[in-house]
Amino acid sequence: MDRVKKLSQKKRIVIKVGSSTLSFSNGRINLQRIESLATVLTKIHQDNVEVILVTSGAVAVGGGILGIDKKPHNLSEKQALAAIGQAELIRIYQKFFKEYDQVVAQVLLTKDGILNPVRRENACNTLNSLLNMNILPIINENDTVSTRGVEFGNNYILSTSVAVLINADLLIMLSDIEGLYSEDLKKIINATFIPTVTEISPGLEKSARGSKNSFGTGGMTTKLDAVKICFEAGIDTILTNGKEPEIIYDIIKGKEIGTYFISSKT
Amino acid sequence: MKIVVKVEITSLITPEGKFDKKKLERLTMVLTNLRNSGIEILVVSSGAIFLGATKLGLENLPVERITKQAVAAVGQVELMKYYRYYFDMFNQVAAQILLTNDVINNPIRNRNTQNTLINLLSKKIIPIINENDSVSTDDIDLDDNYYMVLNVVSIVDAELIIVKSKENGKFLFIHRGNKFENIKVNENKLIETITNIQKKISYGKYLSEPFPPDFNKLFFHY
Repeated sequence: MDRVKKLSQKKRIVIKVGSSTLSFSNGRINLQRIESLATVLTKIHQDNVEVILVTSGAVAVGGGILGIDKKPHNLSEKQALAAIGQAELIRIYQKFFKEYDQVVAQVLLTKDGILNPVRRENACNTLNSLLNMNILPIINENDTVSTRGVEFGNNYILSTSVAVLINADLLIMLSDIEGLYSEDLKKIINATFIPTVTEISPGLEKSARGSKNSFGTGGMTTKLDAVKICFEAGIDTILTNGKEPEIIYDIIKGKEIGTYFISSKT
Repeated sequence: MKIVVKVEITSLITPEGKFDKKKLERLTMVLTNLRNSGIEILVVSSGAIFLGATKLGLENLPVERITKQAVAAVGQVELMKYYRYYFDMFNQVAAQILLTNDVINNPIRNRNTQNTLINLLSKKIIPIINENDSVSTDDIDLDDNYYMVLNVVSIVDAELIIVKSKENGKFLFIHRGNKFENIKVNENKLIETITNIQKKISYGKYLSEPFPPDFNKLFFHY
């Protein structure tokens, strides 16, 4: 099946947006980026495609409010900044979504909340009811109570867990890289871009390993781990650069943007 | 990179001639984003007389100088109230600085002003500067803050002037480029344009050009 047709059938999409998309290189929040994202997601959501947003950025916003320039190193400081920043981040999202009369809801998840069957069902029901009411859920990890060992660790894994939980058709990961390359881009200039992946071979994984972005937590290995979970669950994934959120329109129209990971179990 | 942003109240009014809060909200969002991206921003804003007249329910703007100065005293508070309200919305701290144009010629006041402004900028605060109309002896109307912009540019040694255009969402750039280049850009392209100008400056491209430009040149090109 061709890309255009495949993507036109996607009716429930999880969009994962990372700190590298939401903030400047100095860590401060990029308001105009958030505004564009809100514009695009509202239009898609109001056009009969259910959209669930998984967002990072709480720590960045918290740091901005307190005027802290450095990235926090210890966990408790990170959690404190997240507690300050999450409330603000949602307020900012709400502000921009409200311009288009799109109601949003905040859902903060922890890993044990998804592993525990009862809580899992509750989370699933909540998200489904929100979507039924045409509300756009904005999800983040509940950093303040997630401790090392029981945390998702990064929002790539969180976004796949959400996609699996609510039975999404597609996961779009907005990152600071265009997609998957044959080699580590930072080391090899002539690395070739891979537009489509149908299987994550050991060779592919090996070449992806070691490429780590400067900001944000996810290197390519993390992204591939996330994609593998989606593969298993029959969910397609697209990895692309989030610097212009408007490309999401083209992505769902089937334009060749980013790397398209097609699950054989779809 | 230090940028002086000139805001005229005429760029913040509705077609019916009322103060347009929505436009100010957008402006503060765009300026906060510039500040977040690492650029140091100073705002020179007019609007005290306009907002004072609105507050007092005057049908026309005052003509007489004494009335203007009194109305400006009322309106400056209003102006800062709105700036603060909207900057707060985006977690940006603003400060009010009222200057008279003689600050440039008085070395002690010049130095004091410089210290204050530089200190505010180092704390990531956006200073909102206006002429201290109530004590100023200059003709308030005539220069429409242009001298003030030039004074601020030279006091803090800014690299660029941006004027909020009356065209919605547009900005006018004035920098020391060849032939005194003016560029009109959409607010979405602001950061990109500034980054390009910054590159040219750091490559030493504009070194021979005087900055700030003289008043006539600035006025003429605008």
